[in-house]
Amino acid sequence: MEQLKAMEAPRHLGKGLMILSAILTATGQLFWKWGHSNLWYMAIGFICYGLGALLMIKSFSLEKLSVAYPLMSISYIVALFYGEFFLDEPLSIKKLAAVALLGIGVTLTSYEK
Amino acid sequence: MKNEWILYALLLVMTLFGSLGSVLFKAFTANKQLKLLLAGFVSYGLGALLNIYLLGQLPYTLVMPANALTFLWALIFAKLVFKETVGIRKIAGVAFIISGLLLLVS
Repeated sequence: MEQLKAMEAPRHLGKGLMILSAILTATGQLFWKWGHSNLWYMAIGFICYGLGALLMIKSFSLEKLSVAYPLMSISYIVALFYGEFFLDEPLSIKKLAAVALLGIGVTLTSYEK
Repeated sequence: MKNEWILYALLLVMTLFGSLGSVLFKAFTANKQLKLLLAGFVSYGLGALLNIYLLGQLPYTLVMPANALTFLWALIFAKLVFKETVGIRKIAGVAFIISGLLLLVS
């Protein structure tokens, strides 16, 4: 049933939802960062974070974990660029290397035969 | 310096609550006990509140990637609670994640 349901959805919908979820999670936390001085930003952060969680759950029902989880690492890459452009937390080789290690780690952890 | 390590410990606690929430939700799907669902939401909520607090104390570019620690807790729960087999590849994966975060902290 789950297999049949997955086949009914467009082939890459699960992947798309996970990518969108990763972006929303990073965006939600960005607004939480700003929200320490503005409650409206805090509320927007909760909405983004909540939507990200819902899309993640939906993605897990459509896509294998070994594909969905590594895509979650996109949120770490998005976080680096948000830090560079919005938060005065500049990009650096060290941060890029760290995120690469995280991506490899997440992929290895979620791999299934 | 001392304060920083307290904040790093809170990062661990934050991701622990997130993982615990997932475990409780999974237990709920098996047992359908309402208290498991509520405990799951409480865990998730506490994790989110700690997340908000830590974003005010530490750089965003550290707190966001630190969410990868949920894989560490997921591995521990899989082993201890669900008695699942944990292969060498998953252990290597968690080692990479920890290495990446230590690089961010240094």
